Amino acid sequence: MNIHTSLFDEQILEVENLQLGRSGSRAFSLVNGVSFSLKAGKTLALVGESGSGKSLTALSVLRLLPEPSVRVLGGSIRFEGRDLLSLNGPDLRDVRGGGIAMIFQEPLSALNPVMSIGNQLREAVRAHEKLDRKATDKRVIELLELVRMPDPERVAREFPHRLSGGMRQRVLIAMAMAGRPRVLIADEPTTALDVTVQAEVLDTLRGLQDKFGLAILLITHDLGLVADYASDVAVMYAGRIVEHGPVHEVLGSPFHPYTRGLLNARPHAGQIACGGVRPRLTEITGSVPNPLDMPSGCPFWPRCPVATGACQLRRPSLSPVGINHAAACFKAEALT
Amino acid sequence: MARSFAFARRYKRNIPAVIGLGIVILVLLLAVLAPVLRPGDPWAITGQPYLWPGQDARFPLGTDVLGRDILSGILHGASVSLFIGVASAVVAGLLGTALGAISGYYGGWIDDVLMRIAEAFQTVPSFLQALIIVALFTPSSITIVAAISAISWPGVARLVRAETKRVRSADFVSACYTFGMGNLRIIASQILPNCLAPLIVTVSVIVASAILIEAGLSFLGFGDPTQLSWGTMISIGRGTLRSAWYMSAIPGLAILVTVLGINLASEGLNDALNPHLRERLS
Amino acid sequence: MNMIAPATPLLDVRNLVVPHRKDGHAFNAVDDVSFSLQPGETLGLVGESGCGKSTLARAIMGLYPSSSGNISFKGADITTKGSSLFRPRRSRDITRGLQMVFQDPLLSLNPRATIGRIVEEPLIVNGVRNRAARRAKVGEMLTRVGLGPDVMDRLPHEFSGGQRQRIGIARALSLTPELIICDEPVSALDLSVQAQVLNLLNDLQVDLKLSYLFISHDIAVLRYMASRVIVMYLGKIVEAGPADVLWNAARHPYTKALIAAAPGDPTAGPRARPNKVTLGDIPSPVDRPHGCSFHTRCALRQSRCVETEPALRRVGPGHFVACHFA
Repeated sequence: MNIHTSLFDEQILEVENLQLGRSGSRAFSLVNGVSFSLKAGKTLALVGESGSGKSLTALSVLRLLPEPSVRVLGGSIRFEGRDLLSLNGPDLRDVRGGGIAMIFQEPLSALNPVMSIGNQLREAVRAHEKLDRKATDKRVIELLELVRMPDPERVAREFPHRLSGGMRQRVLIAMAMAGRPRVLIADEPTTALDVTVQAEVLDTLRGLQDKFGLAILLITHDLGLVADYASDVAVMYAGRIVEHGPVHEVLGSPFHPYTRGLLNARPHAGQIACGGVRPRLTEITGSVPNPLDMPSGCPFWPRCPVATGACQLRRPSLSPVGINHAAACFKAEALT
Repeated sequence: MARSFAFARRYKRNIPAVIGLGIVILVLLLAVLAPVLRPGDPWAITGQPYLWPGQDARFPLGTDVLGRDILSGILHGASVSLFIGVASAVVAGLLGTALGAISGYYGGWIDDVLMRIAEAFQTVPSFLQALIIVALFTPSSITIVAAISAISWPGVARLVRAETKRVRSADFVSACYTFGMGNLRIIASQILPNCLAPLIVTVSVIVASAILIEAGLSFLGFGDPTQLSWGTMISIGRGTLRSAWYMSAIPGLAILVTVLGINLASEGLNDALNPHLRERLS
Repeated sequence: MNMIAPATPLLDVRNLVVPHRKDGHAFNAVDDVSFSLQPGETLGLVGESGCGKSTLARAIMGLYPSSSGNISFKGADITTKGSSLFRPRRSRDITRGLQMVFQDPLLSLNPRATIGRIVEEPLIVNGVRNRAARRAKVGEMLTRVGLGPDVMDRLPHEFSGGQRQRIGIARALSLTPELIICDEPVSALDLSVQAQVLNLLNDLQVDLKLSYLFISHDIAVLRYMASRVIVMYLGKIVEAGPADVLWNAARHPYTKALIAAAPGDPTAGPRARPNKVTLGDIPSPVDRPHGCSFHTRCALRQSRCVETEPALRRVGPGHFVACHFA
């Protein structure tokens, strides 16, 4: 795996000024001016609530958007120097699964219910390399071992419904690894799983990352997972990145009031009730804005505890607040 | 109000549905206005027999083998056909809804028994079954409606049963139980309103098929002998199909257009009623 | 309410067994569960999917029949037995006192009913005949949950997830209950909204002297809400105790694993999670392992665990564990 080591610290996926939405008579924008890059061996977490645009951003990288209702309206996505948005047909297939693989939230719906795990993995292997039957079977077992599947020979003969949620997700990771990808996009990979299984699946992903120098784009709503598994984080709100930086910077000294709100909204160690009166949680008032009815200025101002008149008039752009750390807030300076 | 407005807007976008609704309204108007447009008994012999449409200005659609006015028959027959269609659909709809809802809500042996009965009705070809029922009793509007309802309710019951099962497992139904709502009230106030869209569509399709079945029965001579329906008119013209085909073709066309109109309108209803409710419950 | 020494618990569940079917296999989703809940407390119930926590909640609400054991509310037996075909209705007194808030606020509201109607229905069913009085109560409840009476004519789909959950809470409140079963009330909500709903539940508890049976899979939420916690695994209670004891000195290996597996506190500063001891997947509740049902995933397993099932035994004040080696 020397090729991968040489790619360390190089940006293999660069998304620049991405715009997603619908043009034409009923135009609206769902993702606006999103930029980020992925480095080999690192995990970037894209964090946000429902409607923040995090999943659409992930889908757009593999050109899996639900077109024509949502399409790329602007920006660029570059993978190892190639412009993904201009790829077509075989070249695109080459990147999908080959260079970039993706796993989804609901593993059961991503597997064919009437085909054994082994056959589905065989198909995945054949899609990427020409091997004889024996070598294919060997590779299938190898992939299952790679994701720490217990008893891989038996699992290969099973059908998806016979496996637990965690095992299904590991089968999908194995499938994703069949093409030896350099980038793995994981869209809420553990949201449908139980906590004990969640940790195992994410540990498996991290193991693969260490072994192959995989760059991971982790889409999640759980800041706890971000703290545990990501190296960098981009916080999205209403289709824009509002704060971006190394995990310990963003979570340790958040600048954007939304990031602060999210961190405080979660009950944490100091608030255990133990029978007494519980301290109030800091809530973010209101709810996420409708993309058809976006507030003017900063999209967060109606819910922001520190908003001023200026926030309603102009939209703050992402500007540096520390080393590699940026936030889109006029008050970011004042908050320190 | 806003909701019915949105419904109307969705329906209006569907051009075939609007045409269908137009046909249905037209047929209804003709049926209501028949005594005004063509007063008198449609059975009465008013002119020369075998008059082709356009031959005599007094009889724009011509006359039949005995000299009865075909236009008068079409106008008065409309109300017979519509009555049979609507009455059968209402009876089948009520029966099917009640049995389907009970079956789906209670499940268990009640469900088994009711569904076996429904299957028993569905295994015999439906037209044959209607024919037998009407033949066993004297053919009259009542027996025809009864026969058509008897063959149509199992379809409604199956649909309502499936919908009831789907809605019943929703948490809002559980919630009603937890605050003490009775079973019948849950069925009436929670479950049925959420089955309404597919139910309305199915029942409107029954109207169309009932008109066809009635025509078929009348054609075979099992119609209500006191009522001049479109089917009866076709059967009257049957003997002279080669020489005076217009006698059967005109009422046939009336049936075709009416059934087509009802089907188009119910398709439109289906599309307009369904969009968001479906995805929200599934 | 007698706060000093409550003679009868508000809710008392004894040796409850709730049968269930999954893919044609019958099994006991809740198997010999006993606990009681005192007035004014928030009892947390934690466990992973298939542990029977939701089935237990629904059995308490009378939605599922139990095959043995009993449930009593304020001393009155409310166990639902036998087939659910013709469930007898509970007395109004019980219905009023015991209410439930569901997990998915969209699925728990009738999509065709207006908000006013949804909140009013419990009052209609429970014999409040005066329409004006009902409407006034509905308005009061909607205001209480922070929505205000002017939402009455709108439909559920016009609201956000958090607002819908508030409507569900208003419906549960309309009968002025003493105990509310909260079945994962915030798991379907966005993070920024979870805090709003938890705060609301807190305020209501203080203002209306409510008790909660609070079911969640989320350790952080339970840590915050519960004063006493029950841990369930495959239909059985494996550990129960006061919250501070349980979070800080859990005895059962499963409880320890649950706490360890929960994502970290993001505000605690930088930390990369060390890889966990592999637990393996949860066995299907349909074929529960013999002996201790946790033995397939347990690091402490001995032959005894495979052979005999450990009983729930007392290990400290109010602290119970079902493990041979804890």
